[in-house]
Amino acid sequence: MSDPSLQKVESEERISRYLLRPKLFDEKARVVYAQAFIPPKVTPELPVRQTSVYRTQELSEDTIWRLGDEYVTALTPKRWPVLGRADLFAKDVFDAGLTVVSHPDPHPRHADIEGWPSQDEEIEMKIAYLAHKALLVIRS
Amino acid sequence: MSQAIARTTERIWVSNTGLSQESKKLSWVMNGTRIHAHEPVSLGWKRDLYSRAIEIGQECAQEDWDGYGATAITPDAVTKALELIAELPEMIQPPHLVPSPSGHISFQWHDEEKHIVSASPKGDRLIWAAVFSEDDSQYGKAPLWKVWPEALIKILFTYFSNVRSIVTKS
Repeated sequence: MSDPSLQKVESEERISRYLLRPKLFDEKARVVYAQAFIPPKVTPELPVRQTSVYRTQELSEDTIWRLGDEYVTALTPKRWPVLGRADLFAKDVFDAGLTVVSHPDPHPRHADIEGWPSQDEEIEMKIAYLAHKALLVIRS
Repeated sequence: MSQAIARTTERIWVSNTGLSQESKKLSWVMNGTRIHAHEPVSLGWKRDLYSRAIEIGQECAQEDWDGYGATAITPDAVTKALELIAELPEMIQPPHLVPSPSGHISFQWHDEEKHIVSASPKGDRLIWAAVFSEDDSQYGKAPLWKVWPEALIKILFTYFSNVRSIVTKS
């Protein structure tokens, strides 16, 4: 992937949601909770509901974790460490009726899950589906 | 003439105006105690859930508690969770309580096959979704005063019952 921000997100591409809080996944059951995928509320600065993810296809495990350290942990006010991640294929997001849009800020591999509906129950359905499809990877 | 009898709960102890963190914690504990006082002693798992809900309320009381811009979980959100816990059927497996970046406490059930049921009190409604496979899912909403909707209870009894069936082999 030469410059991922220039390339359309393909169905088979792996995308990862970094997990910073232990209450958003069940390590013992190897399950990501649905709420880990909820997009934050709309603000004047962010008028579109988006769930931040990274395009991690072809990256080594070390690189994936370093990406999280430098571009997620380092940019949060409380510097929460990356504890794990939820891996999905872009196809899973498309099957949920959502889209993955490249937004290369703060990193070329950054993207957002978009297309969230306005009805709460529809959002609940989509995050439950994503949790069903997600693979939990715990940082060792 | 029919008259709807509204479900009410005492909210004497619930107030989030002008209270310190310690006072808020005390109000959660008092509310949990009041709810728990009506439960049979045997339901230890509900006590654990009450504690967990209060713990979540404390740990996620600030904005951006998840590092992604989450909304703080308020005392009112904790109270709603406590009331839902109190009304959980005894024959259902205990749920996982999950703080939501939307500012409420969600209930999630899942198993080894990744059947997932998620239920969230939002505003005056309970919204829920269940995923059994790629092609088998349901979702819905109901007024919160109805507590656990029948359709959701049916799903929970089917997939997350506490009762083990006894199969007699001939």
